[in-house]
Amino acid sequence: MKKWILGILISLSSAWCWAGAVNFEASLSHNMVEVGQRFQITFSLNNQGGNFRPPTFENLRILSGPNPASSTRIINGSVSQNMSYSYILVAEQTGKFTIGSASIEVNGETYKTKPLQIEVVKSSKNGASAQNQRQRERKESGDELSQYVFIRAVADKNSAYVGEKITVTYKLYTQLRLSNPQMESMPSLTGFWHQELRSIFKDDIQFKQEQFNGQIFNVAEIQQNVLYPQRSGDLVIDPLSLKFLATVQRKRARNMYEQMFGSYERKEVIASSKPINIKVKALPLKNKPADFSGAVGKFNAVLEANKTSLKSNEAIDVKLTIEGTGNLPLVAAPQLNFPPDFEVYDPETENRYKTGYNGSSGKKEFKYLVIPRHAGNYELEPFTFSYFDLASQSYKTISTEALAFEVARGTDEENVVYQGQRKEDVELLKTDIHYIHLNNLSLINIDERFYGSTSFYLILVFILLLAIALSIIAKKQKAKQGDQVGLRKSKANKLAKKRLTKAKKHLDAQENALFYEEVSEALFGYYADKYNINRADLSQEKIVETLAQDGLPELAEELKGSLEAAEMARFAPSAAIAPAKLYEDAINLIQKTENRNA
Amino acid sequence: MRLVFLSFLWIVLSSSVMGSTALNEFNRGNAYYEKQNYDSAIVVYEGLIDNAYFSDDLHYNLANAYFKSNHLAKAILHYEKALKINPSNTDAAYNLAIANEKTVDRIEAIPELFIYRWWKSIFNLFSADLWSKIALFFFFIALAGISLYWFLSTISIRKTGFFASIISLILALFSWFMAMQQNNYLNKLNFAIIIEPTVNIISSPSPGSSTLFVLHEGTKVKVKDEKGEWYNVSLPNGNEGWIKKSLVGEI
Repeated sequence: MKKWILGILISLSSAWCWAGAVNFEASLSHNMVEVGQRFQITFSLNNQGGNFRPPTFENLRILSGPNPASSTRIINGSVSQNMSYSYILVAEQTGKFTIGSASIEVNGETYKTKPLQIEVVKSSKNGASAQNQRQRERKESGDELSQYVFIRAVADKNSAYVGEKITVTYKLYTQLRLSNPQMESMPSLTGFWHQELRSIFKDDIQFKQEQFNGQIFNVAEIQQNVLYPQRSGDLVIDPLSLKFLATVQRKRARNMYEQMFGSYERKEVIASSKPINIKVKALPLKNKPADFSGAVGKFNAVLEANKTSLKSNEAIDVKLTIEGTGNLPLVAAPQLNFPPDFEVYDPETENRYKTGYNGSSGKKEFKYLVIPRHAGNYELEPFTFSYFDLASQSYKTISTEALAFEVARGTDEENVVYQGQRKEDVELLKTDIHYIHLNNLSLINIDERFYGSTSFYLILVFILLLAIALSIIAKKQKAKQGDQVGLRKSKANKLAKKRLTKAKKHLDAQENALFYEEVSEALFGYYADKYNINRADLSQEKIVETLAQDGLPELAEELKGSLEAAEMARFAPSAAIAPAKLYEDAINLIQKTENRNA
Repeated sequence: MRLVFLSFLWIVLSSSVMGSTALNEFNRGNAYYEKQNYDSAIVVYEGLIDNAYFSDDLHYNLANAYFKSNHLAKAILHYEKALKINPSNTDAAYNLAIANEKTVDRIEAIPELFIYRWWKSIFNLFSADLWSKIALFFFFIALAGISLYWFLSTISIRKTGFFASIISLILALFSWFMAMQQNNYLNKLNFAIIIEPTVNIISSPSPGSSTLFVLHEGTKVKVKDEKGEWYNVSLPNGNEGWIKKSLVGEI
């Protein structure tokens, strides 16, 4: 659907642009013809087109065509182009025939003509003009003349390989005087590549006498073609027909004069050869070289260069010459494996061969212009060329010498300023797998794997046992130390209480000095035991510091106050702090610490 | 303590010094390969695999030999195996891509879920062996750390020892888990490669069932199930069917 719309749009737009639609039509010179009457059909196009496909002219015989014609006209600056293909046809049976449509491509679009009708009627002698009648007479009598005039086609072989040369010679045998040769039909030679060696229309022909079927004929080679079959199978070389005017003696004399001296008239005679069947054999598949490209015959190849040491950016002419006999015209320019850094231009082909009866021989030169862009030593790999050798019926491969090039750094490489330093991508020439690993190879036996192996579990169990053993040892050691500390800790409160009770007694007995000493002793002792501080290290600062570290800075401040007050009262009894309050504070402090640690 | 350390060292070293005869054999295969005698190299490499040896290098070299002797499916199979053992074998990945270019069936591989890909790349970081050695190492560190905590009295050292031991224990358990994952992954059959040139995938695990589709050598299929001598395989596009076990090579 989309394509349709697109197609319509394109055709509309193009029609608009060209200011006139592309017109491709067929026209007939006659709508009604007699059997044997010639008529013309013309397919004309008001544009430039290509890929013309004619219809199949069923029931009609093509006498000539396609005859292309084209014209270009420029009127007031607008260019109009026309082209046409015409055929001259003749009908051989009566009836109404339809000539199918022809197609042509213009700018990628295909145009078709309408089919045309033609009616063929029986030839009526009465209705025909006098001239027509005369022609007919000539033709009728011409058929009788075919035993005096005929063409024989002779091929030098009836069976050949694909690509093997076949020479076909057409010989005209005549016992009459002939003039005014015209081509009646040319062999179409489908399936062959062919070259004309000789033609009656181009070359002078010479008659010589030859015996055929017991009679003497004048014989001339009127056409010679060299053919190279392009495909295998049974191929047919179509007949060649020529039309002549023959001068023959009139059978019935029209008057006395003619009876006495004889009279001559000119009659039209058509001489045709017979089709030749050629059996074309395919080349053997066995041992077919990979680079074989269809060359058949016998060849030699030479690879040469006009210089092998040069500077970068200088051009080299590399010439590959393929010399020999065979289907040389069909040998295409081979691809040479130039070093990838070379700039390679399309090769120029020079043909220095001649095609003769024995096929083409000579040489074909391929000139490659290459320019190395960078300095270095390069090698052009030997060129190998494969062909099928007819003499030995086998493939042969010839190889040229390798060419080495020494490319020095050219001066212009430095002079080019604008180019700058151009970096090139590393060109991947061919993909291949990476090479095998050769070093630091790892190789493990599944049975020797460590994971899940006995040694793995043994080590695991070993570590576990070690951990258990160490934990037991640690516990024992801790128990030894931990008992003393713990005892001290748990006794700390009791001891402090005992001392404080004693202090209370001193307070009641008004023995202030002893009271202060006892309170001070209780506090020091309690904290020393509680925080496991050595008696030797015991000091007011140490206790305060430890308490602060334990996260009790307020308690530490209070304790500091109480301890200082007790010390001061001990050594300076006049100090103003009340002993009862100190006693209360000490109890509170111990209680708070105890609560905190509970 | 010294004993533990020594035994640990012995295990690490013993695995790196492998059976030298097997390595010699491996090198013999490589020498054949270098002389482009691929068939002999294949025989040597396959012999090693039959003797329970495995490594990504072995499968990689074998795959190369198969590739060079035009056994495309087997080459793909062993590249896949090499990649399964060591996903970071870039040469194998590269060559596998080249080999896959030559297969007949053009099937777009669907990339795995990214989370699974990450997970796979983590546990494939090391081999199961190395993971288990790492686990043992961390167990050992954990033990050392807890010993510091137990036996020393300096608080800062004890603290460090305690935390080090906790972290090491976690790492050790993680490594052990990774070793298990890696091991499971290697032993689990997930995919297979078609090794016969043309194979009919049929609708049920019995001969004579109707053919669902046709696969060609080198195509990778997912193995979903097995029954007797049959595998239930599926393609990334969702098609699935049964195939004889003998027609595929397990990765």
